[in-house]
Amino acid sequence: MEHLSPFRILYFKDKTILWNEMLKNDLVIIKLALLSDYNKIPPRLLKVLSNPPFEQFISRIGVLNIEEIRYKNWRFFSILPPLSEELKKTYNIEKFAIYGIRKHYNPETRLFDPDTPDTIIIKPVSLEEAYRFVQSL
Amino acid sequence: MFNLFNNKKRIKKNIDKLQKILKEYKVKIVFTYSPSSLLGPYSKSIIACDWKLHLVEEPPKEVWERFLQYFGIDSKPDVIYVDYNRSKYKITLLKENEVEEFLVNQCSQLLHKNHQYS
Repeated sequence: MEHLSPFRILYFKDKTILWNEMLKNDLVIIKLALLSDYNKIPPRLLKVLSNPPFEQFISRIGVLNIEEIRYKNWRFFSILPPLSEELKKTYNIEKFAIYGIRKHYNPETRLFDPDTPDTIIIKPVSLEEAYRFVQSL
Repeated sequence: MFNLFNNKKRIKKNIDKLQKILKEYKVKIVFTYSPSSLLGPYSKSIIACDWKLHLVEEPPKEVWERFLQYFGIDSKPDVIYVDYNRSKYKITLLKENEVEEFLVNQCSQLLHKNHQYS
């Protein structure tokens, strides 16, 4: 089989419809962040941190476990069951969350440490916070 | 000559290992490349035949159904063999009684191929 879209992508132009659709989903990741465990990072690596870690997120969660929700230039990801249920339980999430990937910085080599695996951080976001965030877009 | 003999022994050992795994586990999906990009955390796999063949035990029902839907598979296969190469998927559907022979064949081909390039 050739040329497959990797997962379902839903486009929304209207903010109210977008929000209602998000409410229907089990678990929505409203933001992806790449973080580091060290403050003093050289500017060239800081540039890396400002990129959203889409590929890493998608391959970690698995193409079959996500759907993308697009609004303007924003990409939200809804995680599908049964993985959504597992994550909600593990991280005590109501419906919305921020997904962070923490890279380990090694001050001696001045590089992200390739030998230490990245850590995953999933931070719950309250319904009110998520609503305010969506309204601000 | 000595190397060739060693390689034959290695292939036999690996195929024995594969047959043992097939008897022990209920394999549902087989990947010739890392399954993580498709299945995510459900990619818990049993690796046989060096690093090339990943046997995935029964994934959650929803994920399995999504898998069939994603690839547009209507027939009800027992096992799916996915060859993912250069972002193209080649899929072979198998019934339970065909699995062992098919995999042993694939495995010995893979192992011969590995030897050629190494």
